[in-house]
Amino acid sequence: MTAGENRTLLEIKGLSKNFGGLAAVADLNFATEKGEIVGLIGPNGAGKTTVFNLISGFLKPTQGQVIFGGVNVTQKKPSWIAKKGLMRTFQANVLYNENTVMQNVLLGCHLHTGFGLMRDFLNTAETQQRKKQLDEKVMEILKFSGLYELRDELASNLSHGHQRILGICITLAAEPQLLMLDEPVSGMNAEEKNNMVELIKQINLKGITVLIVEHDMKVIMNLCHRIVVLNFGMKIAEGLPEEIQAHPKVIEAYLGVE
Amino acid sequence: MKNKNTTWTTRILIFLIASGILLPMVHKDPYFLHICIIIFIWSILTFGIRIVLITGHLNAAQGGFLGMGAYFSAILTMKLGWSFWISLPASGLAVAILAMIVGYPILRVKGAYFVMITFGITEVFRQIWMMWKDMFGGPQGLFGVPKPSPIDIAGLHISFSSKMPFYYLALVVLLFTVLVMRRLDNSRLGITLRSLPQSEMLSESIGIPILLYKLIAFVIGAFFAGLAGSLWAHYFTYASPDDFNWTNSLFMLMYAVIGGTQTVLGPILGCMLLLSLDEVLIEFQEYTPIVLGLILIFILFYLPGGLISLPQKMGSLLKWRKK
Amino acid sequence: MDMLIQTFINGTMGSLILILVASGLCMIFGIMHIVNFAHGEFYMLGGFGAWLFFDQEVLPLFGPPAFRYILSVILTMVAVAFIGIIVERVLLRRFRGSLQSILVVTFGLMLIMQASTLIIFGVTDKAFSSPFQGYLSLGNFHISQERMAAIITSIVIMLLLYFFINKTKYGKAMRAVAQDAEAALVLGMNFNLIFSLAMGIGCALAAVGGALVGPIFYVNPYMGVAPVMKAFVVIILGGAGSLLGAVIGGFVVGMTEAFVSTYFGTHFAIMAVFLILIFILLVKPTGVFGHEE
Ligand SMILES: Nc1ncnc2c1ncn2[C@@H]1O[C@H](COP(=O)(O)OP(=O)(O)OP(=O)(O)O)[C@@H](O)[C@H]1O
Ligand SMILES: [Mg+2]
Repeated sequence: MTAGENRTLLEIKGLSKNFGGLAAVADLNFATEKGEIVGLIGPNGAGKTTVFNLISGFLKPTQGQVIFGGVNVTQKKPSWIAKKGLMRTFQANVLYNENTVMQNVLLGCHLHTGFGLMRDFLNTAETQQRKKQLDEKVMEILKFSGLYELRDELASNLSHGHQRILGICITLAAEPQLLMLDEPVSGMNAEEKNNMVELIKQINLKGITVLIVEHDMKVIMNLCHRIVVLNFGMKIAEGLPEEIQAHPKVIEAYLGVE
Repeated sequence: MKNKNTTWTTRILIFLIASGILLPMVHKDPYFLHICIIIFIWSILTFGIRIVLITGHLNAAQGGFLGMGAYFSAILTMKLGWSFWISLPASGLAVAILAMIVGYPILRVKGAYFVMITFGITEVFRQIWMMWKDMFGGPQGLFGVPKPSPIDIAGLHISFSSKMPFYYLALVVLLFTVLVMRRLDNSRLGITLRSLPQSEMLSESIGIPILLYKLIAFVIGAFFAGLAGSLWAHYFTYASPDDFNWTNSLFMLMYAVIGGTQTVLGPILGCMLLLSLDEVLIEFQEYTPIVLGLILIFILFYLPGGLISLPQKMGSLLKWRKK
Repeated sequence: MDMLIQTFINGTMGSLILILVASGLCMIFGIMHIVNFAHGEFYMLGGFGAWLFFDQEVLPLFGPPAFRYILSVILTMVAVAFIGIIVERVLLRRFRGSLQSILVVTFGLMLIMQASTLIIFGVTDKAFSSPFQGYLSLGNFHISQERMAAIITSIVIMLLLYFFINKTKYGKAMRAVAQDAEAALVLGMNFNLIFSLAMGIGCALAAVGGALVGPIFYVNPYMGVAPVMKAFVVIILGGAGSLLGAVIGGFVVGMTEAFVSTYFGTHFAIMAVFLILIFILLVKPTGVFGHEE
């Protein structure tokens, strides 16, 4: 069991969030292990995005804890949590719209390049060297994700599908250990969805743990090693994809049986 | 496209610098030099407000920082007997430190509220100058600020009693400002600063310390306001609370917006156009604000990118014609 | 003791005038999200309006002086509201979303309005007196009728405003837009009309402030600069878009100013007002009752 515990990357303990009278998340417990792809599903308004916001520090939980890599990150600021290697994407396309694709990814590198205020400024040989390395890193990510051809476009000019990919690229540049994706294939056509599934698999192969919220069951079943199901903020089921598919409570929640 | 723009900016910049250096040699008129000096000082100030503007904050404390720079420099030279050549950078640094202390708590405030809080800061500064007579000279201000002390460079004895040397002094400080700002624009710091107003949420999620970056911009802006203030005090030889009120910040904003904030040319063009207009219209002084206001409104309506976007705009107009 | 009461009366008048100006600003900001730097210039126009209509008699108004004065104030409000509506339509509306553009354009407007009045009417202060002269005496304590009239008029106008906002169809519509513009849009409200109404009423409120102050002090092209700064402090104190907040904020700022300047001097008073502003924003970055912009 000790060996198993060491493999735990993210642990959610008794997490709750109330908005006024509404319990958006209630006493939620689950964990992800290193290298897994875990799905977080549930009907509209189940509290999935709220869980993401709680984990990444954008919302403060009413109760409970978030442990990431053995460190208690509850009540910490988003940028502090990001520094620990926990990244998330957003349900809507949130990008630096007035910047080019390349600059977007470059900004994602911030955590690992720091300020370099003086260095950038003085433009020494070392700066040039670092700049080259940085450019290479950015290009590598863009090639990996298939956005290389579009590198000089403004983010706002990209198609919806490309924008969603760019959102992921920015987080990849920040070198996450755990990547949380909020509905990565929403609004995509079948081909784009397939590409995205492939991309997520590739990301996972790099050793990055993935926590994914998605309404598309085909995508979820195709990708996830394990699934957690939420309804009205509460966990109603957890298990392997096959188990979840056959779980009576899940079927009930999705069919909306009163 | 982008590269073409940059080379154009560089060319115009080099042209401006060259004419800045050469002009006084052919046109020695002190009145002309005086106007140029004013333009240089205001350009430095406008650069300071622009660097904060690109992070999405409209800093109305810039007028107050200008005053603080002027008073610091006046006090350092008059009361402590420092040389101008030390008090110039010292004022910049002092105002930068002041901005660090003031900026840390207030940069959390956003939008219209930030404008108001920085107005408030300028106004509080002003009341301090007026009330603290022993230090700042009260409502009259400090008079008799010395001109910069003479220096010897390469066997040349330069005294600052005439306009020409001061012209070159202000030009050098402006060039330094342009150099720094241009570097900044093209560096990662510049990209990061410009990204801040686009999405704070995204920046936070990838670990960019937003507040720290805003503070850096705020402090850099204040540093240059401090330098400009020092020049101001030693050029006019006084520092008076009436000169440093909140309307100054609005004028800087106006110059920045009319020139355009996209490239470093903007603040210079804005200051050149509007301040020389002030002089052209000197006979019709009471009409000047009306003309300024109308230009401002015209630019906002038809040239939202400022004067520097004029070539682009003309280009697209021409293209449209050809079609 | 006398000084205390005198200061209190002065503070009350100052507060009420400030409340008028601030509720106008508040309305424009709350409904259209326009930060109008030229608001003080509408106040200034109000002062000139009262001077023109009542003192200069540009229109052949007749009747007893008190009646003519009241008529002048009403005419001034209507005229300034009209100017405000035109300005909003032509200049401000298109920049509604952008704080930077709005600030710059209203600053330009401020320059134009100040300079135009200066050119038309000259630099000298215009002093004139209202028909309410003499003092009301209560024991050994006196208050000028002029000030009393200003106090009463302000209260009446605020009551009318309260009635309009809470009881009439258009007032309710305006409140709806201020609270949730999107929902109001869905409900099919006529935004053009609401914006014009808000700007008109907002400017009229500033104008009546100027018209009431005009005879007590004097009228000049720059008289609007100081009140508008204080009005900004008031709406930040009271919360953008909340009229009740503007009333409370107006009293806090007006009384602070009156008492601090009587007992410590005007510099301290201005400083106190702005220190309140800075303090409030530091504690709550979006104002007391504010929400994220
Ligand atoms: N900031 C907030 N303030 C108040 N209520 C909120 C807030 N954010 C979310 N909620 C409420 O909490 C509940 C859960 O919302 P959440 O966005 O987490 O759902 P979700 O599972 O992500 O839904 P979807 O699949 O539609 O994205 C909803 O009822 C929502 O209205
Ligand atoms: Mg969601």
